[in-house]
Amino acid sequence: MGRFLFKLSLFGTIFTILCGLYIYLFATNKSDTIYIKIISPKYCSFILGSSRASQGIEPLVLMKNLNLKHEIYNYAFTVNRAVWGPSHLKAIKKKLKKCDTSALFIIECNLWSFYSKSSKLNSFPEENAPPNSIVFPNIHPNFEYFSGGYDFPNLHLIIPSDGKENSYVNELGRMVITKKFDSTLIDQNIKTKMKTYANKFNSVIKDERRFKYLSETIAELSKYGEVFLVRMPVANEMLVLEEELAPKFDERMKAISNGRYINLKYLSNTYITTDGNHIQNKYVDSVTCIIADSVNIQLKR
Amino acid sequence: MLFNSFEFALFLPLSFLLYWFVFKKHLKAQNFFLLAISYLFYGWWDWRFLSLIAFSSLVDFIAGQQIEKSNTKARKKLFLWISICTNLGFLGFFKYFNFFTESFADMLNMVGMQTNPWSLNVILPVGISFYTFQTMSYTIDVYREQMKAEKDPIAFFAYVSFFPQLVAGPIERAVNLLPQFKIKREFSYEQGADGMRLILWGLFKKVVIADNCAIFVNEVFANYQTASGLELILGAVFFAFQIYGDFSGYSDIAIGTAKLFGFDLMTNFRTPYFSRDMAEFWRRWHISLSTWFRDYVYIPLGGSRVGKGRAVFNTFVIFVVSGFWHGANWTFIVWGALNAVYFLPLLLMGKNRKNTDTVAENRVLPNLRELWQMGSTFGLTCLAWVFFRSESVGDAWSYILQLFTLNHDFNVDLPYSIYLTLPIFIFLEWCFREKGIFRLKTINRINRYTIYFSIALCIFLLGRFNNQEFIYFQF
Repeated sequence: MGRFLFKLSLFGTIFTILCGLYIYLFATNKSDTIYIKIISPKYCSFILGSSRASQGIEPLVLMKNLNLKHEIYNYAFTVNRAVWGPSHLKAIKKKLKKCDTSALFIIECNLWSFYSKSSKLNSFPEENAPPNSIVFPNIHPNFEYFSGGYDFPNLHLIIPSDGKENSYVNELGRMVITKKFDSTLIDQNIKTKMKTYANKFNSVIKDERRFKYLSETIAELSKYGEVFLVRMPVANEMLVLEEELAPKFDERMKAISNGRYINLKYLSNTYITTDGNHIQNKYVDSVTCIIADSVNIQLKR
Repeated sequence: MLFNSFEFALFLPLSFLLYWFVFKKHLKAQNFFLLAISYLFYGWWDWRFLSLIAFSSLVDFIAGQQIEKSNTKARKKLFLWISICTNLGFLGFFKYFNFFTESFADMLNMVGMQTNPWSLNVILPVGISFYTFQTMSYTIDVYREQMKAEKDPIAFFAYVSFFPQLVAGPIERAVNLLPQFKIKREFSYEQGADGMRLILWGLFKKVVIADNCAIFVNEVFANYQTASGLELILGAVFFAFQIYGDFSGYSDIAIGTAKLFGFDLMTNFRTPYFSRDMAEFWRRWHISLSTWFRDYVYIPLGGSRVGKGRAVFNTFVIFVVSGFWHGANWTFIVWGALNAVYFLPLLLMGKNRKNTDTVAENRVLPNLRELWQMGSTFGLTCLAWVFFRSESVGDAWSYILQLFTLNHDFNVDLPYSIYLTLPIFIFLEWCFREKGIFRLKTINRINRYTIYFSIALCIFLLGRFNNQEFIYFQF
């Protein structure tokens, strides 16, 4: 029995140490943005929403322009994870450091996160995906994150760096895209993306639960500071599709936010995107400046 | 409590340590402890059904003793029927009542008599089909005088409720398992290590293979009307791997867990997808159920040593009943009947025992003929699985018709981990086809531990621990 327990413990211990060490050393050196954001410390202020915000709103610019008391962290994820529902609200609360009432929350509203496939209307599929599925965030190495069905395409993200990554996450959580895009590549990306979204357009319906949970999220965050909703600029093709899907989306957002809605869809012609969905890195600072100015105006600073 | 749950990860080591360090001195203490933890394990789902399993055990315990004591054949038969009727009564009520009333009402509606079926809102007790069959085998064996009636109620109750195989088998025979409760168990390093190997391999099959395949399969079967032919073919193929990984994974964990407590359970799967014909497949798939039906239904009906017509009838009965055992739905009956259709030509041509050895024995690779035989058997199996997986026979039929469309679009998300793990799984299964996971004992230590670490790493990184239930729990 002694030999059995000894070997079993040895196997378990070596396995745990090796995995832990590996994750600790390598899991943050590349671009698994989700992991890096999950293990970050708690913050008082946040940028929330989809990848449009994750790539397109720079926390440092906001801090500089708004003279913020607390650091603001970009805790935005992909559109299928950052969906307004009970599990995402819980994930946000777990990351929230309750400072005082001077925090700032910028919530980017991606129209597509309010639409679901009819087969998914009775469930919240995002609850099985990180950050929503993580019970113990803010810890590194985080075994829970990797044991939740870590999918194969992400494996390369935890293999030692070759220095040729196309993106990284900066210290305040923004995903910085370093890849260069020429006009041919952009056209091609937009074409592919529009095909995907056209399919999506035909298969989704309005999900009222998402609006309700966005309101709940705003109500919760309002206890700690000011909350603003933002609609990011996209490519014209995407905007046309979105307007067709939800022509009254802006009015709804304005109502939910009690008028604190910064609508940048009118800038869709001004800023070029990499794929119809995300603005290019070179425009991030100026778009963030516009958001900061709007916040300043609304707060009458 | 699921084998792939956090609760079980605590329950197993705690039970193991208490069993070997606190209750190891006396046989009675060992059996009593096993009974207590088995009831705790089962009660974790729904404690109310503990009364059902306790009542079933009590009836069979008394019936076994009365059968042995009885002097006349008629009296023996009476107690045998009390046992069978009690067990089949529970099974019939909880599992088949609604099916029979609804089917009867449908039949009346077809002849123009409009009726509203009277259905009950009953919950199916987990594992009822498994433990009722296990406990029935005891009374039948006592009746046939193949074993003595058990006098120790604790040993008997522990045998019926033995937690590793209680909810999804293997369906043990009393002649094999009950005597093991009569001998004080001593810990053996070899047995413990074999148990851990099986648990590791079983977990890999369940959380990596089955649960990753399930994501794709659920998507395809839920939206089969709009899926392309290629997606539907892959849906059926992945379901074949899902159900195999799920069920054989459960069996491996069950057998491995039993070994940790000093018990040897029967093998339930022997790499069935490397079968060269359907008869071989059925000798390798869910062995404990097929042999149960063979011993307690097929042979008493006369088996194949009767006229051809009767042999065909017997075969059909056995497959249809086996299908019906899986669930109260026509899909399972059609699945059983389809397998009978696959099997019958072999029986009629006397070729049903042609492939009793292992494919490519003592060779690394199969020859072309064997490859073709395995491929065609697998193809037929996948076709039958469509009925097994579908909600209704109509759905299954539409699925199969749609399967032959020439549309080869591919729009369903396939978990990428499958691309990596499925080929490795098939390769390892091929290597294990003769000795199972125990083949690893014959290779050198470095390679062996590399494989253990790799399997553990796959479970950790790619396994899905969202408490996905085992498919066979519903049966």
